[in-house]
Amino acid sequence: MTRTQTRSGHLRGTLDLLVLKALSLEPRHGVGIFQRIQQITNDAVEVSYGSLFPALHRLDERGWLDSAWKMSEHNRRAKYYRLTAAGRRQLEREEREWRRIVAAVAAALDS
Amino acid sequence: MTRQLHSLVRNLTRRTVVDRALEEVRACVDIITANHIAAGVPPEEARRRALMEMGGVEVVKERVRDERRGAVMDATVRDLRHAGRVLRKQPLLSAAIIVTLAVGLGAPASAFGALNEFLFGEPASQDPDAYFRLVRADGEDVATPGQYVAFRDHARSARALAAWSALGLSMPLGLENPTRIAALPASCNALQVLGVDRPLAGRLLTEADCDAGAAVAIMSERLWRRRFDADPAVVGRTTTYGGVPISIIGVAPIPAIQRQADDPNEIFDLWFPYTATDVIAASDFLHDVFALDDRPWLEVAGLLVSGVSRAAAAADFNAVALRDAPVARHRDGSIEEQAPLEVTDGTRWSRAPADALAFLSIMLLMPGVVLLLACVNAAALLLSRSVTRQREMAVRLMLGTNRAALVRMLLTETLLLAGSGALLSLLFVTTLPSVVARFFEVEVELGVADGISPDWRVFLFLCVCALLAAVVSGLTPALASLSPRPIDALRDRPGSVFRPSHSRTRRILIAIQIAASMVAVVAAATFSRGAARYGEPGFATAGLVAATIAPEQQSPRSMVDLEAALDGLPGVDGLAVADRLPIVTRETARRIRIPSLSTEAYAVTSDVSPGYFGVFGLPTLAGRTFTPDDLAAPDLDKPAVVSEPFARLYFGGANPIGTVIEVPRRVRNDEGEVVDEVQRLAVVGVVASRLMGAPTTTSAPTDGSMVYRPIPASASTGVVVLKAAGDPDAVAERLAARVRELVGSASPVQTVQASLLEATLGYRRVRTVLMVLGAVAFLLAGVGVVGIVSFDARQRRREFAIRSALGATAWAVRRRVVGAGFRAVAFGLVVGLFATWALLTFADSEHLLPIRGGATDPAPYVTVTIALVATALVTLLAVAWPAGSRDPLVALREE
Repeated sequence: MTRTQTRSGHLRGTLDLLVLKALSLEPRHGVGIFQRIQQITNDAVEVSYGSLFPALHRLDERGWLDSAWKMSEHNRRAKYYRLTAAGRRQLEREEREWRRIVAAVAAALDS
Repeated sequence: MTRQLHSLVRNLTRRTVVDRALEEVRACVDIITANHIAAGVPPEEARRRALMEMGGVEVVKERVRDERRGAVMDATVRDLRHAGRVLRKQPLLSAAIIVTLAVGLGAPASAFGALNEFLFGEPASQDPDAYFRLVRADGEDVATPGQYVAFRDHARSARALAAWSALGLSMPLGLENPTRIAALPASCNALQVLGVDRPLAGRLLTEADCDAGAAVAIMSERLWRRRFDADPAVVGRTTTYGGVPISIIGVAPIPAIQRQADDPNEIFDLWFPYTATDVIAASDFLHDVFALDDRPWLEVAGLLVSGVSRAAAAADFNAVALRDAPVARHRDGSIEEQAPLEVTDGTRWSRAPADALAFLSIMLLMPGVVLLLACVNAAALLLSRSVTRQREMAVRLMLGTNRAALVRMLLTETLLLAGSGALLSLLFVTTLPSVVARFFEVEVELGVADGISPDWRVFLFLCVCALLAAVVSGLTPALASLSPRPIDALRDRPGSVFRPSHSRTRRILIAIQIAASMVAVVAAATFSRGAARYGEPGFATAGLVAATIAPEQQSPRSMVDLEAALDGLPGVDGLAVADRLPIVTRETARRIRIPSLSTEAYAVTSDVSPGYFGVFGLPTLAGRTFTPDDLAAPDLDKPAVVSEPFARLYFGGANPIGTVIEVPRRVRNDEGEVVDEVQRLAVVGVVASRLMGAPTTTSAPTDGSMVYRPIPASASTGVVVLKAAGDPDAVAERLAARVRELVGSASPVQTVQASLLEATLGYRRVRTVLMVLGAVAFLLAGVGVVGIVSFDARQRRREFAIRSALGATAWAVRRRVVGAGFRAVAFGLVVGLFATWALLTFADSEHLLPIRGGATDPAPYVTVTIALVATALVTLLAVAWPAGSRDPLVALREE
């Protein structure tokens, strides 16, 4: 199991990409994003809340996310995040970049 | 960008609102709890699991805060607020640290403030931004007269170009009572380039004066006011130099200049045209240098054309030098290779930054030691507080604050202390440099005392020192605050009863204090001993009175005649003449050869009359001294008397009497031609050693090795020395009157003791400053050692109690306290001895000590070591005594 850490820029970028991806379908609160990342990575990536919340605030400050307080499914107040238009464009850029790197590394390993 | 700026402003200004947003972390814990409850987990267990999954609400919040834009600024503000609160809580401790750091920071910052103008001050000029100085890359003299004219006429980058002589003249101002003043041959626009537009009386030099080579001069305002009470009638009067009349045509506020680029600032009181060859030719010595048109002897400065950089100007001057300027030639007519030209802004820093830095480092060394001691003292005080704060730090660590953030927070506290110390040190920084300038009488070099005020460089230097002081004094206590096992600190249980690491830190601090104070005190003591030796220079000074006969007096009598004429003066026990007084002026070193030993070296020589050794009380150790017959011996074949160190240096145990010493020399013959000849001196006696002043060349030994020659019968300059039988002042008066009568003009007459005191005034002033710094260093170290040792003993009360309870005797406990402390003191002493020896050896090699060989003088090392050991032992015993006397059970209960 890979633990996503925020110390290296590369891994921090990976977490940002996963957060953007987790919000690509619908707005979610912190726990929802956490669970969605586990779901879409088949539990292969374990994100800690200690990394997730700083990432959410970072993306929010960059204008890629918007947030608003709403009631959750358990009827509790929660802060919901959604992608902004800029965030969606950033997701597309990061996806392209990620695929390019993966292809390049794969080609290198296959050579 | 706008959004980023907005979030930065919001984070910094609306911190509470932003922090409220972090409530989402707690909300998420509620959601996770609800999820667990929905999955059938009991509420309490669900809550516990949710908190564990979150990893600590406050920890996550802290990490988010760290990630926010402006987090560093925000954290700094928070740290500063916290630091302010902590310092207010312990006002006495904080005040002690601030005062200690203020004294420590004040020492180097004041020294830097005093040297600031000297190193970075720009010369006076009507346009400081445009002012430049032309220098050679190798520091040699810049231009021949022809080269200067070529630069002036062809270089397009300069709108004005001035020149002055690389050598100043010491010229008698013969208006009334002649005394020597500093004079300078210069181009006729030089004063204008230096910003002097209008004369105070008369007129300035003009190009016509230079074209005509007129013997006219401008007098400085300083001399005009001091010597002539600002009398406008001075203009138009005439003085003479070597028989050449020089008219004073004006008075101007002449500024201090660096004659050569590395010289200290100096005011020349008479400026005359560099083309005034009649004046220059009046001095044999100067004529020899200046009369050759193709020798470089001029310094060049000017004003740049607006918009031209110094680099472009240098390229321009070098091009002119190649294209239009005549070459420089050696005396034998061969072409002299000259180094490329450089253009500086006229400051010493710009001319040679490496030299300036080296000079600054030497001057700041002792104040730096004081700062180091102050920092170590502050560290010791902070260390005592850090132990009591371990619990607070443990709580913060347990709450998730990382160690780096805590170190930053603790360093912020020290930074606040150092900043306050720096503010307080401004009291010293704003007042001491002027006091130093006045005390050393170096206002010309450092700037007018009242005008010395700290500028941005001084403030920057103070800030850098304060920053360093904060780190040096704060880092060790900060690290000590962060107990390696927070849980132990929280349970109020130290990691180990004996805590060797903390004691080791304190012992290192003691060692640094001992070593640093040793450096300061031994250096001060060595310098002081050297300066004090001038009080006992190895010859009798009591009752000696000397009259100096200067070249410009053009004495009609030779010194030998003068001695004969003065014989029989009442109240006189002895009489002698010599070329100069020992120590008071530089000792003349000449090249000598000893053919029998095939040795060639420099040696200090002195030309004296037969009575010299008796008057100065220098006993004859072997052979004889001079007789009146020796004075009449042929000039190229004279007897010589050598000093005992000279005999030892070159002949070991052998008798030097009968050995021949050769002195090659260059003289002007009767036809005025310069010819080489060799004087042969046969050694006839050995006399005792005397202390030596600085020789004219550093290649000459300064251990007292000397060669005395009979004073030449033709010599008409030198000193007459009388040994007074009674009151020297009465004899001085009689001597002055008689010499005036015999020579025809007044000569300065003074007791030899007064002359020596005057000549060594600089050393005595430096000694005073070093002794003050040494005393401050000793005091700081003493206070620091007492503080650290007593704190260490207090911290180890539990350990001592356990040892006592286990059967250790009171003396065993005391031995342990003294032993541990003394090991640190001994280590500090060893390091200090080595560092001091290295420092003094360096100072000795750079001729910074009054007496050569001070580094190996054992007395200061021994005395200071004994003083430091005694102080440390008394301190350690005073602390160890109660430690061994305490009842272990009472001590353990108190703990």
